[in-house]
Amino acid sequence: MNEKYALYVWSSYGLTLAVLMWNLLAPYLRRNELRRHLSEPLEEVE
Amino acid sequence: MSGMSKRQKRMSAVIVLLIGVGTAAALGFTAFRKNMMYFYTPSDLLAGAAPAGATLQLGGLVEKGSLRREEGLKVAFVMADCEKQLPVSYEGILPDLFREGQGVVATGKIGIDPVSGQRMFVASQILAKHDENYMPPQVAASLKTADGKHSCAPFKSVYKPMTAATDAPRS
Amino acid sequence: MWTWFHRLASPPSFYRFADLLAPWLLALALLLLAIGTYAGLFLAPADYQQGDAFRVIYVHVPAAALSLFVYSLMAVSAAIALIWRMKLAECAVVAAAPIGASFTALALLTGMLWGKPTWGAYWVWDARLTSELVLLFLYMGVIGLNQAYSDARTAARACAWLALVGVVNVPIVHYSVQWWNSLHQGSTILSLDAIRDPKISGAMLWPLLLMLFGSFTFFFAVWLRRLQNEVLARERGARWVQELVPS
Repeated sequence: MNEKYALYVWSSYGLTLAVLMWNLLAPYLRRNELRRHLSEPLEEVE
Repeated sequence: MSGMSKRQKRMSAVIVLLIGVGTAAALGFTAFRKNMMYFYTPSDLLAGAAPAGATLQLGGLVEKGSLRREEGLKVAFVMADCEKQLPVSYEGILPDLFREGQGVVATGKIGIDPVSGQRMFVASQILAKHDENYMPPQVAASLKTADGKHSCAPFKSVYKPMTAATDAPRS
Repeated sequence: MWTWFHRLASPPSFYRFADLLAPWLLALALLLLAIGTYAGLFLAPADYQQGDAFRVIYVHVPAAALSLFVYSLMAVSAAIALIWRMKLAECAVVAAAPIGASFTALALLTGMLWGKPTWGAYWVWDARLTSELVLLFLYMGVIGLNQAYSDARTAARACAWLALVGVVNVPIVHYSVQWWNSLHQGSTILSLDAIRDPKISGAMLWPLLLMLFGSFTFFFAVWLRRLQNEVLARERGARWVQELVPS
């Protein structure tokens, strides 16, 4: 219908994509970090 | 209490906490319900519910056929809830969704119309309050014949009991 | 059923169960979200009032629904954790908070981006917007509390109490548009009235349902992954963890 709403709509979808990506990546990175620590025994995590 | 196991004691603590917090919230919101209303309705203002001279929000439907465009960006229209009407004047940019028959929330002050001497509302900002119905234009056009497409139900009087608002007629 | 529940709640079997389930949930979620996004942007007709601005609904409503659902789930887990001292439930509270917080922030931000072109303002202090902001602060409180303690179990119990106290805000957010005058409109699909008498036409509704199911499935997939991490961090001394990690 009109182009003037495009920026609002695309920004909201962009933000959604960012939140989805963060929710995917954050646990993945944390797991790698945990596994790295776990493979070196007798060490405190964190 | 002595006959309870530790688990039962913890369970009671959780239940007591939930009931306590729930009751406190219910009491608090009943006492402060008026303060949490985002806007007054035309009925409220005509009943003298709001202090004179204060900047406040007024919510209602733009009465069909009442919109007059004056010089520059000046507009005048009538706002209504399910019962009362109040003339409004405004100078400035209107939101895209502003149209007759639609809900709006105006920020401004109560004033006196210099011509009629009646009470009116002088708005400094107008926001559109759309409803929860979504449909394509063709569907909307087929509904056009039906009277009163927009409901006045979302505009609840601040001074009415809570139950009255939910029983308000719907379009 | 009870024994099955107990076995699943044991950390090693939960870990393996999550490993099996999470990839399928994630695949399903991404499929639903991809179709829903395409349909919401390109197949659904524009709204008679709002034009294309209404398309924000497809990301805003799922985020807002998740923000309330995740908090409720967190409170149920909190009650289980506090009453039965179940470790997995403690982990569930801590693992849900960051996901819930991110979707609450998303609901607020997409709401602002929807409010500007339709209402005419990014933000107003009405009951719906204010209570949703309080929800974000509650989530951040749980996250902060969890980081404030060095002992994971003490932290999780403190978080559980806060999650329980804060759950009173969930019905307030949901019913705020009925209880008080607000600029925000009423519920389009998540109310009894809306189920009796649909407020959105079918061509606009189905992409929204796909987005809702997709978002909820996505939440469960990433929640399982975070739960696994919590379990792994707490059980790091246990033999099953040592066997899991190739040294």
